[in-house]
Amino acid sequence: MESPAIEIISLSFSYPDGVPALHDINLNVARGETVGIVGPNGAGKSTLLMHLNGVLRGKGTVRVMGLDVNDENARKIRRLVGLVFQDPEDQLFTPTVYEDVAFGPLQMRYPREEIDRRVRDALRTVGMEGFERRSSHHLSFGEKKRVSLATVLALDPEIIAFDEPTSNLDPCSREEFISYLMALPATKVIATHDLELVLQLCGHTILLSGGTIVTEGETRELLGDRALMEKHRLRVPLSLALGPR
Amino acid sequence: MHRTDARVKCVACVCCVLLIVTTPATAVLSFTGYALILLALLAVSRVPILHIVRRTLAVMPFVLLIAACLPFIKRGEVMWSVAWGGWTLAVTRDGLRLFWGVFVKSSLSIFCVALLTATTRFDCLLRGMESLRCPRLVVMLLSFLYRYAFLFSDDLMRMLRAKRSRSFRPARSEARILAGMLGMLFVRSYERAERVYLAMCSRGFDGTIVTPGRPALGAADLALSGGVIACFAAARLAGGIW
Ligand SMILES: Nc1ncnc2c1ncn2[C@@H]1O[C@H](COP(=O)(O)OP(=O)(O)OP(=O)(O)O)[C@@H](O)[C@H]1O
Ligand SMILES: [Mg+2]
Repeated sequence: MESPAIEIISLSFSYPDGVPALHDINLNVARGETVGIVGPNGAGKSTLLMHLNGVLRGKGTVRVMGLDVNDENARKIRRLVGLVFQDPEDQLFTPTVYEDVAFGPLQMRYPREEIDRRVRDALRTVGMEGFERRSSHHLSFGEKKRVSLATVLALDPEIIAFDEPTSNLDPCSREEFISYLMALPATKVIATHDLELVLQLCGHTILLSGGTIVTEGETRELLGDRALMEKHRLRVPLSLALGPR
Repeated sequence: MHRTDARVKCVACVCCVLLIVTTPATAVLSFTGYALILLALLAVSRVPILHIVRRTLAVMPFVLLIAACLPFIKRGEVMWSVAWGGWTLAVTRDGLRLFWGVFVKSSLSIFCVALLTATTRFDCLLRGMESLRCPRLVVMLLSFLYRYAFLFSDDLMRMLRAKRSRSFRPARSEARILAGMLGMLFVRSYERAERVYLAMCSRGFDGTIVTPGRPALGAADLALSGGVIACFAAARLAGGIW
């Protein structure tokens, strides 16, 4: 049988200052699936995403495409799993857009033509061609978000994890960004407070609260459960509450 | 000139500055020559002169402060002096000459560097430095500095604004609040650094700094820089003393 895209077995993690952030997480994500992770502030969503490519390591097992996440596989894992951070300022750390997008491919020691091709393709996918020479800090927030996505796409990962992909975007930018997400063939894990987005994109949703998985299930069913949602400081998305479309 | 390869521009700039600072202060003709060449370059590059002047002026106070002390310190033939109590303040001829030298050389050198930075994008400059064997770590540090200096100052502005909108206390306690804010700023920057590092790791960073190869130097670029250096050398010779 084909191994799942992501397999997490009893994962626990505390930050160095002793804050316990994740407790006994068990999770499976099939290949090609789009999974939503919802939960209140401080639930541990961001922390969980960081474990997917091994930049944070907890107790327990994380497996990606059948590979154990450990030092030995680190390089392969980083190429398999792309992480789009919540704050694009963290993701864009070089002076120009080109260098930011080329950073990943460069680290993989691809030849120059290959790097150029990847940068071009990634920027085209997010509608940012022609921005190569621009300074990253002079872009608008929405543009920064798109370039952040491009920096990950340049590595052509099998799995992409998004942390709050739609936060701080105006309605149009948000819709555009969602359309870019939808067009991606990769396995996607999306951690967000934007429940409409989850409803739109994710077939399966995980409810994370207080560092544990409270429940998981079919998105409509889970997000439509008013009692469950309100218990975890969430709300039933309007489009669900107003009845079936 | 904007499109000239950053590497040759860097080299040319360093050579010109070296020629300037090693010219004897008495060679007025040489300095005039340098100034004319720089002005010609400025015209060719179409950089607004005000821009360069402003940058040059920004550095001048420091230079002047140091240079202004020289006439008094240097011993030699006294031109005029002020006696005050037991102290005598004397301006010497040698001292004045030194002052003039430092002043002219530094303004011309700064002009040179200002011209370089005005016609070269910062990222190109960094890459130029890097291919000139400047240590990669230094280049990377500078690049982070360039990228995050703005965020850093934005952070500071935001905190100052937040403070101003809340504090009604007398100025006496300002210092303590300011100290606390600086501490916060440090913590914020530190955590930002941590997240950036994670983002770098996520894209395969493993501690080695990989940089792309460089295209070959164009003949036109080399010719231009060579020409500029040659002009400077000629101006220096014109001053009479080598
Ligand atoms: N660098 C850190 N050091 C110590 N504790 C941290 C750190 N980052 C997060 N935490 C703590 O870990 C817990 C989980 O944080 P996390 O950022 O994963 O939550 P989240 O679900 O992403 O929240 P949000 O929706 O607000 O982004 C929180 O209690 C938080 O205070
Ligand atoms: Mg988060």
